[in-house]
Amino acid sequence: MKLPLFTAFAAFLAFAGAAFAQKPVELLNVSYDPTRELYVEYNAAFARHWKAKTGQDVVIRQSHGGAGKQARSVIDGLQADVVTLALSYDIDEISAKAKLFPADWQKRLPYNSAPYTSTIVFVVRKGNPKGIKDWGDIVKPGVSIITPNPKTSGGARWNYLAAWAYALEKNGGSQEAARQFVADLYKNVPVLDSGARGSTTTFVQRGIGDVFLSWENEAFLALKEFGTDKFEIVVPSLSILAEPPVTLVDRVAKRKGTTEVARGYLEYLYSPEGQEIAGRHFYRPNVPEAKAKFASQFVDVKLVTIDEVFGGWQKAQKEHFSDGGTFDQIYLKK
Amino acid sequence: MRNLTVSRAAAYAAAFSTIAFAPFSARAQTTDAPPEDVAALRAQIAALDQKLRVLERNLEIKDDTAAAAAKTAPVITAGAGGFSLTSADKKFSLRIRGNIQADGRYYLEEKSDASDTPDAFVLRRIRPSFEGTVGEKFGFRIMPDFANNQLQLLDAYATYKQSDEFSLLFGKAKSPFDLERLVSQTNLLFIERSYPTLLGPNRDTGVQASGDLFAGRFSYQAAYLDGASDGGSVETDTNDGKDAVLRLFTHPFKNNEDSFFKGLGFGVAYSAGTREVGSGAIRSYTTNALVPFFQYNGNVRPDGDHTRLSPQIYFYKGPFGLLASYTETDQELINTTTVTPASVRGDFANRAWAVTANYVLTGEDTGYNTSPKPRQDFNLSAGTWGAWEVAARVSAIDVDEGAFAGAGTGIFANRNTQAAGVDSLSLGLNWYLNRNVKASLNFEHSSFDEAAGRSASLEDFEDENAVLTRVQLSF
Repeated sequence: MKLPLFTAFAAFLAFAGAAFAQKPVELLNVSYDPTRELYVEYNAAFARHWKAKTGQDVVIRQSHGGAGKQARSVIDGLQADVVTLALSYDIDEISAKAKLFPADWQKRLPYNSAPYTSTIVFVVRKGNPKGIKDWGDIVKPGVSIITPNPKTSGGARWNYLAAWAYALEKNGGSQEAARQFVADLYKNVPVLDSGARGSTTTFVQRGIGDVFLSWENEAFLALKEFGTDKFEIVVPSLSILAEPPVTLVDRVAKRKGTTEVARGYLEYLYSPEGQEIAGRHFYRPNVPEAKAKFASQFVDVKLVTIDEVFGGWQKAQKEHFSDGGTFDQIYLKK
Repeated sequence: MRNLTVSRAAAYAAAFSTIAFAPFSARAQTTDAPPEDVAALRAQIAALDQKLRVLERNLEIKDDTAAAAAKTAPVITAGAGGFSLTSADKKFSLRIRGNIQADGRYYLEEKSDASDTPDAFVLRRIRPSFEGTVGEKFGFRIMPDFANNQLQLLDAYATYKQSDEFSLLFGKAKSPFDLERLVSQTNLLFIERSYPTLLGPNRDTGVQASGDLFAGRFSYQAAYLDGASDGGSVETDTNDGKDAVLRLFTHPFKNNEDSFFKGLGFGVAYSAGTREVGSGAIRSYTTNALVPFFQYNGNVRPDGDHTRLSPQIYFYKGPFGLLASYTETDQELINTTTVTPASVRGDFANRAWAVTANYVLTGEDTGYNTSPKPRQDFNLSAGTWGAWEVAARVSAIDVDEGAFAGAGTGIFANRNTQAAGVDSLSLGLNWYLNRNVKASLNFEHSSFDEAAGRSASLEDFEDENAVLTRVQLSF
């Protein structure tokens, strides 16, 4: 019996198609550690927006962890539709090693694909018992510093580089002095968590350390959640402009058929509502209108950039955080 | 982990004793100590407290790191079900299984001519199998057979599982037709399958769709295949004709825990296809003891339509099981060398049925395509004997009388030398030493039907009595 193959194939496709139809589209956002609360609210807002715009239901799943670890997971096959990580180097690594999206990904969205920025501040215990006012105070003997591991955490790398930048400025650009300064800093670090949220736990909940080098948004969150009667924020004289970028993971989204909704998800971060949510969660919005609205929420601090002090992330990563780099040298000596 | 626990306990003890006793010793020595000394001691306690907290937190981080590493580490298992390697997310796995069946065949009647079947030890099956999953929805299975010093590729297929309701299989696998054929070779009640399997397809290559509906109470299998001969497998397809196979099966009381008929299942299988004259010879029919009793003439080939129908049923309740099926195969054949056009072609319907009952004497549950799991493994020194099971089967096969008609001794089959049917009684005893080792003893009795018009001068076909044995190791 010769069954018409085309008919059989068409019937199969119809059957399979029916099985796929009418399911809500699902996105996976692989993000860094402290963005949990931000994306809980943002995801709900975007789902409402997308439903109203297209009639399509969208469910967004989140994955959080140290930015370096998260990038490694995506390289190893975690099926992220979008990544929203702590720094561009980790996203560059995904592009370079897994070829999931083009190398010039950062040009695809405004502001170098960073819808919001942040910086590094100090959180100290109420009354600031160690009298910490600036970077110079935290490297003194007897001061216990909480910061995560720069090998796995994006926030920790920003901490490290901010300290290095401060030391450079204080010492007339001497790299050797900066290196010694950062080495002294890590002598005072008793615990290395893998991510920023772990360090928050160490400092806030476990009661360890005198000063916590923290993302600005994480610092505000700690005060909001655990009380201003327990902690204070100290803004150093100099810090670093942290630009956590976002991008579409083209090949995964194409394979899953989620390109349009994933792109919409990232673009909505720049919308008034997206920027408002970022501001409410103590990220510094990048779109001028929202930036102006939330300006009073953040202290005015001198911010250096990774490009002007370190020549960009690729160079900084290679010199400081690659295996055998400066961090390994100073931390292993500890 | 043990070292970690020990070091943690030691650290706690040391830190605790330091903190706990420091204030007392300080108080004993400094009852009238100046305030600055008290402050110093407080600072010392605070410092020790921090050290303890740091120690505790570092151990906590180590534990978290170890737990995270465990989440991504592949899982290796070895057990009665085989050996497996599974990724941490369970999406990728490889399972290695296998079975060896060493048989003995003893024919109780000795014949003086060439038709005598020698008693023999044979390696019936030597089958390693490799199966697993590749990603969330895809799977595979590869199973060769090395029996009789020959390499055959029996199963080689990829699967796609969209849901319980819809799966696809591509490649070579058992055709979804015969109830007993679909029982794994390691779970057979008798050493050899019975006559309905002679009339159904064995392994075939193509695409199959299957699924369970209504909470597993109804299942379907549909296939579009190269088209295997009765009882045969397709190794290389030599014609354009293909088989469509549909099998519908239901377990209406499957989810009703209290129902007496929970273990009842019944259904029907149907196949339809065409064969071209070049599609190869037709397999001979053999008794349950594997002795050939019917073979079409050597120049007879399939040519035209070929349909099969098989109603099938089983019922299992505790240690008792019953399985029955009937198969009818209807096939157009051609004698490629006969000269009378009217006699050259024929349409023949062969029929077979079997009813099998089994009972596990030691009380373990039995079921379709499962073996009893001994409550206690065989252990001579402990006086435990595994599981024991008895089984009985009546079965029969009838060849279409038309096959023996025609000039000479028959156009399509030789009515003098070939039997027109067999009625068989099988008795079996199975000993499950443990989940991996089974020993079987079967007695097979068969009596043969003669074709109409068989020469009266010939002796009747002699009944066949045979004892079959098997030792099976499977994992």
